[in-house]
Amino acid sequence: MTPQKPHNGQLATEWPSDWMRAVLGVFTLRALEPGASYGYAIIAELEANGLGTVKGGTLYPLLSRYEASGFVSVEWRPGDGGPGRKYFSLTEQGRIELDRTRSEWLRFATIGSDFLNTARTVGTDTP
Amino acid sequence: MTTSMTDDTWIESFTVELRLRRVSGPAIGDAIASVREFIADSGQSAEEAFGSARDYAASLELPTAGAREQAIRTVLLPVLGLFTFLIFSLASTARFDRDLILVSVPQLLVLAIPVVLIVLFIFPFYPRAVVRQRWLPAALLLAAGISGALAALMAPTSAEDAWLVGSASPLLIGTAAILVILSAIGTVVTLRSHDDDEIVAPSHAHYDAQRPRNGRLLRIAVNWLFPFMAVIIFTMSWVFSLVTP
Repeated sequence: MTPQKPHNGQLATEWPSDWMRAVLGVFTLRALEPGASYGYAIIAELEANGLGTVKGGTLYPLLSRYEASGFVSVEWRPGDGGPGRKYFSLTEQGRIELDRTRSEWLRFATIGSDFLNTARTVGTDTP
Repeated sequence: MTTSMTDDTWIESFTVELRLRRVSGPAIGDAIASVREFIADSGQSAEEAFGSARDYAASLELPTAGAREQAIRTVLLPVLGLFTFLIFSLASTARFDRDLILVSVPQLLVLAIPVVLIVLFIFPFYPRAVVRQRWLPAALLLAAGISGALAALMAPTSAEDAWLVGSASPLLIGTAAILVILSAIGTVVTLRSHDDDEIVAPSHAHYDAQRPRNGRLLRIAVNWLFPFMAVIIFTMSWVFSLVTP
Protein backbone atom coordinates (compact mmCIF):
# COMPACT_ATOMS: atom_id res chain seq x y z
CA MET A 1 0.00 0.00 0.00
CA THR A 2 1.35 3.42 -0.89
CA PRO A 3 0.53 6.40 1.33
CA GLN A 4 -2.09 8.63 -0.20
CA LYS A 5 -1.64 12.38 0.11
CA PRO A 6 -4.59 14.53 1.16
CA HIS A 7 -6.68 15.83 -1.77
CA ASN A 8 -5.19 18.96 -3.31
CA GLY A 9 -6.50 22.24 -2.03
CA GLN A 10 -8.44 20.54 0.74
CA LEU A 11 -6.97 20.91 4.21
CA ALA A 12 -7.11 17.81 6.36
CA THR A 13 -9.80 18.31 8.98
CA GLU A 14 -8.77 18.19 12.64
CA TRP A 15 -11.42 16.51 14.74
CA PRO A 16 -11.73 16.88 18.52
CA SER A 17 -9.11 14.62 20.08
CA ASP A 18 -11.58 12.82 22.37
CA TRP A 19 -13.71 11.87 19.35
CA MET A 20 -10.61 10.51 17.64
CA ARG A 21 -9.58 8.59 20.75
CA ALA A 22 -12.92 6.81 20.71
CA VAL A 23 -12.88 5.73 17.08
CA LEU A 24 -9.19 5.45 16.19
CA GLY A 25 -9.26 1.73 17.00
CA VAL A 26 -11.94 0.83 14.48
CA PHE A 27 -10.47 3.28 11.93
CA THR A 28 -7.08 1.60 12.25
CA LEU A 29 -8.55 -1.87 11.80
CA ARG A 30 -10.44 -0.56 8.77
CA ALA A 31 -7.21 0.87 7.31
CA LEU A 32 -5.71 -2.62 7.55
CA GLU A 33 -8.74 -4.33 5.96
CA PRO A 34 -7.44 -4.23 2.34
CA GLY A 35 -4.07 -5.68 3.38
CA ALA A 36 -0.90 -5.30 5.47
CA SER A 37 0.35 -1.78 6.07
CA TYR A 38 2.91 0.12 8.18
CA GLY A 39 2.73 3.01 10.66
CA TYR A 40 3.15 6.03 8.40
CA ALA A 41 0.99 4.56 5.61
CA ILE A 42 -1.89 4.00 8.06
CA ILE A 43 -1.67 7.62 9.23
CA ALA A 44 -1.50 8.87 5.62
CA GLU A 45 -4.53 6.74 4.73
CA LEU A 46 -6.61 8.20 7.57
CA GLU A 47 -5.49 11.71 6.64
CA ALA A 48 -6.36 11.16 2.97
CA ASN A 49 -9.87 10.17 4.03
CA GLY A 50 -10.40 13.43 5.91
CA LEU A 51 -9.99 11.93 9.38
CA GLY A 52 -7.27 14.33 10.50
CA THR A 53 -3.63 13.79 11.34
CA VAL A 54 -2.90 11.11 13.90
CA LYS A 55 0.44 11.25 15.69
CA GLY A 56 2.85 8.31 15.68
CA GLY A 57 2.80 8.50 19.47
CA THR A 58 -0.95 7.79 19.38
CA LEU A 59 -1.04 5.11 16.69
CA TYR A 60 1.84 2.86 17.79
CA PRO A 61 0.61 2.25 21.37
CA LEU A 62 -2.75 1.26 19.88
CA LEU A 63 -1.10 -1.13 17.41
CA SER A 64 1.03 -2.51 20.23
CA ARG A 65 -2.14 -3.24 22.25
CA TYR A 66 -3.81 -4.83 19.22
CA GLU A 67 -0.73 -6.97 18.68
CA ALA A 68 -0.92 -8.11 22.32
CA SER A 69 -4.63 -8.92 22.01
CA GLY A 70 -4.10 -10.82 18.76
CA PHE A 71 -6.04 -8.47 16.45
CA VAL A 72 -3.00 -7.81 14.28
CA SER A 73 0.09 -9.79 13.40
CA VAL A 74 3.41 -8.14 12.57
CA GLU A 75 6.19 -8.77 10.11
CA TRP A 76 9.40 -6.83 9.58
CA ARG A 77 10.20 -6.30 5.93
CA PRO A 78 13.66 -5.03 4.93
CA GLY A 79 13.82 -1.46 3.57
CA ASP A 80 16.18 -0.12 0.93
CA GLY A 81 19.15 0.51 3.19
CA GLY A 82 16.80 2.03 5.76
CA PRO A 83 15.68 0.58 9.08
CA GLY A 84 13.07 -1.68 7.43
CA ARG A 85 9.36 -1.50 8.04
CA LYS A 86 7.06 -3.18 10.50
CA TYR A 87 3.98 -4.35 8.62
CA PHE A 88 0.75 -4.94 10.48
CA SER A 89 -1.98 -7.19 9.12
CA LEU A 90 -5.39 -8.19 10.43
CA THR A 91 -5.74 -11.60 11.98
CA GLU A 92 -8.99 -13.53 11.86
CA GLN A 93 -9.72 -12.24 15.34
CA GLY A 94 -8.97 -8.70 14.14
CA ARG A 95 -11.49 -9.07 11.30
CA ILE A 96 -14.17 -10.21 13.72
CA GLU A 97 -13.37 -7.24 15.98
CA LEU A 98 -13.53 -4.87 12.98
CA ASP A 99 -16.94 -6.23 11.91
CA ARG A 100 -18.26 -6.00 15.45
CA THR A 101 -17.06 -2.44 16.17
CA ARG A 102 -18.01 -1.23 12.70
CA SER A 103 -21.65 -2.34 12.99
CA GLU A 104 -21.82 -1.03 16.58
CA TRP A 105 -20.44 2.32 15.50
CA LEU A 106 -22.77 2.63 12.54
CA ARG A 107 -25.76 1.83 14.75
CA PHE A 108 -24.60 4.42 17.30
CA ALA A 109 -24.00 7.04 14.60
CA THR A 110 -27.49 6.49 13.13
CA ILE A 111 -29.21 6.70 16.51
CA GLY A 112 -27.08 9.73 17.45
CA SER A 113 -27.89 11.53 14.19
CA ASP A 114 -31.60 10.82 14.58
CA PHE A 115 -31.51 12.22 18.08
CA LEU A 116 -29.59 15.32 17.05
CA ASN A 117 -32.02 16.03 14.23
CA THR A 118 -35.23 15.43 16.21
CA ALA A 119 -34.01 17.25 19.34
CA ARG A 120 -34.49 20.61 17.65
CA THR A 121 -38.26 20.20 17.14
CA VAL A 122 -38.79 18.93 20.70
CA GLY A 123 -36.96 21.93 22.19
CA THR A 124 -39.43 24.49 20.72
CA ASP A 125 -42.11 23.58 23.33
CA THR A 126 -40.27 25.23 26.24
CA PRO A 127 -41.80 28.58 27.23
CA MET B 1 11.13 18.91 28.89
CA THR B 2 11.46 22.33 27.29
CA THR B 3 14.65 21.98 25.28
CA SER B 4 14.36 20.25 21.93
CA MET B 5 16.55 17.22 21.63
CA THR B 6 18.10 15.39 18.73
CA ASP B 7 16.54 12.10 17.64
CA ASP B 8 19.52 10.17 18.97
CA THR B 9 19.18 11.73 22.43
CA TRP B 10 15.45 11.04 22.35
CA ILE B 11 16.00 7.40 21.39
CA GLU B 12 18.64 7.11 24.10
CA SER B 13 16.27 8.31 26.83
CA PHE B 14 13.49 6.18 25.33
CA THR B 15 15.80 3.15 25.70
CA VAL B 16 16.55 4.07 29.32
CA GLU B 17 12.84 4.46 30.06
CA LEU B 18 12.06 1.03 28.58
CA ARG B 19 14.98 -0.47 30.51
CA LEU B 20 13.61 1.06 33.71
CA ARG B 21 10.27 -0.57 32.94
CA ARG B 22 12.21 -3.86 32.56
CA VAL B 23 11.16 -4.47 28.99
CA SER B 24 13.13 -7.29 27.33
CA GLY B 25 16.00 -6.46 24.96
CA PRO B 26 14.34 -7.71 21.75
CA ALA B 27 11.13 -5.75 22.54
CA ILE B 28 13.23 -2.59 23.08
CA GLY B 29 15.00 -3.22 19.76
CA ASP B 30 11.64 -3.57 18.04
CA ALA B 31 10.26 -0.34 19.58
CA ILE B 32 13.39 1.62 18.59
CA ALA B 33 13.25 0.27 15.03
CA SER B 34 9.60 1.39 14.78
CA VAL B 35 10.56 4.89 15.93
CA ARG B 36 13.38 5.06 13.38
CA GLU B 37 11.07 3.77 10.63
CA PHE B 38 8.40 6.34 11.43
CA ILE B 39 10.68 9.39 11.66
CA ALA B 40 12.35 8.35 8.40
CA ASP B 41 8.94 8.01 6.71
CA SER B 42 7.29 11.14 8.13
CA GLY B 43 10.28 13.50 8.25
CA GLN B 44 9.20 14.52 11.76
CA SER B 45 11.53 14.58 14.74
CA ALA B 46 11.11 11.81 17.29
CA GLU B 47 9.84 14.30 19.86
CA GLU B 48 7.31 15.80 17.42
CA ALA B 49 5.96 12.40 16.44
CA PHE B 50 6.01 10.63 19.78
CA GLY B 51 6.05 13.33 22.46
CA SER B 52 8.12 12.79 25.59
CA ALA B 53 10.20 9.60 25.63
CA ARG B 54 9.00 8.76 29.13
CA ASP B 55 5.28 9.05 28.34
CA TYR B 56 5.65 7.17 25.07
CA ALA B 57 7.58 4.33 26.76
CA ALA B 58 4.77 4.08 29.32
CA SER B 59 1.99 4.21 26.70
CA LEU B 60 3.38 1.24 24.75
CA GLU B 61 2.59 -1.07 27.69
CA LEU B 62 5.19 -3.59 26.52
CA PRO B 63 5.39 -6.88 28.43
CA THR B 64 7.98 -6.89 31.18
CA ALA B 65 9.86 -10.14 31.40
CA GLY B 66 11.27 -11.57 34.62
CA ALA B 67 11.15 -8.30 36.55
CA ARG B 68 12.18 -9.89 39.81
CA GLU B 69 15.04 -11.90 38.30
CA GLN B 70 16.36 -8.82 36.58
CA ALA B 71 16.22 -6.80 39.80
CA ILE B 72 18.10 -9.55 41.63
CA ARG B 73 20.78 -9.82 38.98
CA THR B 74 21.40 -6.17 38.23
CA VAL B 75 21.02 -4.56 41.64
CA LEU B 76 20.53 -6.83 44.63
CA LEU B 77 23.31 -9.37 44.00
CA PRO B 78 26.11 -6.86 43.27
CA VAL B 79 25.23 -4.67 46.26
CA LEU B 80 24.88 -7.66 48.60
CA GLY B 81 28.15 -9.07 47.19
CA LEU B 82 29.98 -5.81 47.83
CA PHE B 83 28.73 -5.61 51.41
CA THR B 84 29.70 -9.24 52.16
CA PHE B 85 33.05 -8.66 50.52
CA LEU B 86 33.72 -5.65 52.78
CA ILE B 87 32.94 -7.72 55.90
CA PHE B 88 35.15 -10.50 54.55
CA SER B 89 38.01 -8.01 54.08
CA LEU B 90 37.62 -6.73 57.68
CA ALA B 91 37.47 -10.29 59.01
CA SER B 92 40.50 -11.40 57.05
CA THR B 93 42.55 -8.48 58.44
CA ALA B 94 41.34 -9.34 61.96
CA ARG B 95 42.10 -13.03 61.39
CA PHE B 96 45.80 -12.35 61.04
CA ASP B 97 45.83 -9.68 63.77
CA ARG B 98 44.40 -11.16 66.98
CA ASP B 99 41.72 -13.32 65.44
CA LEU B 100 39.21 -11.26 67.43
CA ILE B 101 36.16 -9.37 66.29
CA LEU B 102 34.76 -6.93 68.88
CA VAL B 103 31.32 -5.44 68.23
CA SER B 104 29.26 -2.94 70.28
CA VAL B 105 25.50 -2.27 70.05
CA PRO B 106 25.75 1.26 68.55
CA GLN B 107 28.22 -0.13 66.04
CA LEU B 108 25.73 -2.79 64.99
CA LEU B 109 22.95 -0.19 64.67
CA VAL B 110 25.11 2.00 62.44
CA LEU B 111 26.06 -1.01 60.33
CA ALA B 112 22.37 -1.90 60.01
CA ILE B 113 21.77 1.26 57.92
CA PRO B 114 23.43 -0.05 54.73
CA VAL B 115 21.82 -3.44 55.33
CA VAL B 116 18.34 -1.86 55.37
CA LEU B 117 19.22 0.18 52.26
CA ILE B 118 20.23 -3.06 50.52
CA VAL B 119 17.15 -5.01 51.61
CA LEU B 120 14.95 -2.23 50.13
CA PHE B 121 16.15 -3.31 46.67
CA ILE B 122 13.71 -6.22 46.89
CA PHE B 123 10.87 -3.75 46.20
CA PRO B 124 10.73 -2.81 42.52
CA PHE B 125 10.02 0.90 43.11
CA TYR B 126 13.32 1.38 44.90
CA PRO B 127 15.89 0.39 42.24
CA ARG B 128 13.80 2.36 39.71
CA ALA B 129 13.99 5.47 41.89
CA VAL B 130 17.71 4.92 42.45
CA VAL B 131 18.39 4.88 38.71
CA ARG B 132 16.02 7.76 37.91
CA GLN B 133 17.21 10.21 40.55
CA ARG B 134 20.84 10.89 39.76
CA TRP B 135 21.73 12.04 43.28
CA LEU B 136 20.31 8.90 44.93
CA PRO B 137 23.09 6.42 44.07
CA ALA B 138 25.65 8.94 45.34
CA ALA B 139 23.60 9.47 48.51
CA LEU B 140 23.38 5.69 49.01
CA LEU B 141 27.10 5.24 48.57
CA LEU B 142 27.75 8.13 50.95
CA ALA B 143 25.38 6.65 53.55
CA ALA B 144 27.12 3.27 53.32
CA GLY B 145 30.55 4.92 53.53
CA ILE B 146 29.65 7.12 56.51
CA SER B 147 28.07 4.23 58.41
CA GLY B 148 31.16 2.13 57.74
CA ALA B 149 33.48 4.88 58.99
CA LEU B 150 31.28 5.56 62.06
CA ALA B 151 31.21 1.85 62.86
CA ALA B 152 34.99 1.74 62.69
CA LEU B 153 35.23 4.75 65.06
CA MET B 154 32.81 3.09 67.48
CA ALA B 155 34.78 -0.14 67.54
CA PRO B 156 35.37 -1.22 71.16
CA THR B 157 39.00 -1.26 72.17
CA SER B 158 38.77 -4.05 74.72
CA ALA B 159 36.66 -7.14 75.12
CA GLU B 160 34.95 -5.68 78.22
CA ASP B 161 33.38 -2.82 76.21
CA ALA B 162 32.16 -5.13 73.49
CA TRP B 163 28.68 -6.55 73.28
CA LEU B 164 29.80 -9.33 71.01
CA VAL B 165 33.23 -10.89 71.09
CA GLY B 166 33.91 -13.42 68.44
CA SER B 167 36.61 -15.18 66.62
CA ALA B 168 37.29 -13.80 63.16
CA SER B 169 37.59 -17.26 61.60
CA PRO B 170 33.86 -18.22 61.59
CA LEU B 171 32.98 -14.80 60.17
CA LEU B 172 35.66 -15.26 57.54
CA ILE B 173 34.36 -18.69 56.55
CA GLY B 174 30.74 -17.54 56.74
CA THR B 175 31.23 -14.51 54.48
CA ALA B 176 33.34 -16.57 52.06
CA ALA B 177 30.50 -19.10 51.84
CA ILE B 178 27.95 -16.31 51.25
CA LEU B 179 30.13 -14.87 48.46
CA VAL B 180 30.27 -18.27 46.73
CA ILE B 181 26.50 -18.79 47.16
CA LEU B 182 25.75 -15.29 45.75
CA SER B 183 28.00 -16.00 42.75
CA ALA B 184 26.28 -19.35 42.19
CA ILE B 185 22.84 -17.67 42.30
CA GLY B 186 24.11 -14.98 39.91
CA THR B 187 25.39 -17.67 37.50
CA VAL B 188 22.06 -19.52 37.54
CA VAL B 189 20.13 -16.28 36.93
CA THR B 190 22.51 -15.35 34.09
CA LEU B 191 22.13 -18.80 32.48
CA ARG B 192 18.36 -18.65 32.75
CA SER B 193 18.08 -15.16 31.26
CA HIS B 194 18.47 -16.49 27.65
CA ASP B 195 20.48 -13.42 26.64
CA ASP B 196 17.27 -11.44 26.88
CA ASP B 197 19.11 -8.29 27.89
CA GLU B 198 20.72 -7.55 24.60
CA ILE B 199 18.95 -5.00 22.41
CA VAL B 200 18.65 -6.58 18.97
CA ALA B 201 17.26 -5.10 15.79
CA PRO B 202 14.06 -6.97 14.80
CA SER B 203 15.51 -8.22 11.52
CA HIS B 204 18.32 -9.98 13.41
CA ALA B 205 16.11 -11.42 16.14
CA HIS B 206 15.97 -14.89 14.60
CA TYR B 207 19.74 -15.24 14.27
CA ASP B 208 20.01 -15.69 18.05
CA ALA B 209 21.60 -19.11 17.82
CA GLN B 210 24.48 -17.82 15.73
CA ARG B 211 25.48 -15.03 18.07
CA PRO B 212 28.88 -15.47 19.74
CA ARG B 213 28.82 -16.83 23.27
CA ASN B 214 31.72 -14.60 24.45
CA GLY B 215 29.39 -12.01 25.93
CA ARG B 216 27.64 -14.66 27.95
CA LEU B 217 30.90 -16.18 29.26
CA LEU B 218 32.00 -12.71 30.32
CA ARG B 219 28.72 -12.13 32.18
CA ILE B 220 29.12 -15.46 34.00
CA ALA B 221 32.73 -14.51 34.90
CA VAL B 222 31.52 -11.16 36.31
CA ASN B 223 29.42 -13.12 38.81
CA TRP B 224 32.62 -14.57 40.28
CA LEU B 225 34.39 -11.23 40.69
CA PHE B 226 33.88 -10.94 44.45
CA PRO B 227 35.11 -14.46 45.36
CA PHE B 228 38.13 -13.82 43.13
CA MET B 229 38.86 -10.50 44.89
CA ALA B 230 38.29 -12.16 48.27
CA VAL B 231 41.04 -14.69 47.51
CA ILE B 232 43.38 -11.81 46.63
CA ILE B 233 42.54 -9.89 49.82
CA PHE B 234 42.99 -13.00 51.96
CA THR B 235 46.35 -13.79 50.37
CA MET B 236 47.47 -10.17 50.80
CA SER B 237 46.49 -10.13 54.51
CA TRP B 238 48.30 -13.42 55.01
CA VAL B 239 51.48 -12.28 53.25
CA PHE B 240 51.33 -8.97 55.14
CA SER B 241 51.07 -10.83 58.49
CA LEU B 242 54.14 -12.89 57.55
CA VAL B 243 56.34 -9.91 56.73
CA THR B 244 55.31 -7.82 59.77
CA PRO B 245 56.66 -9.14 63.05
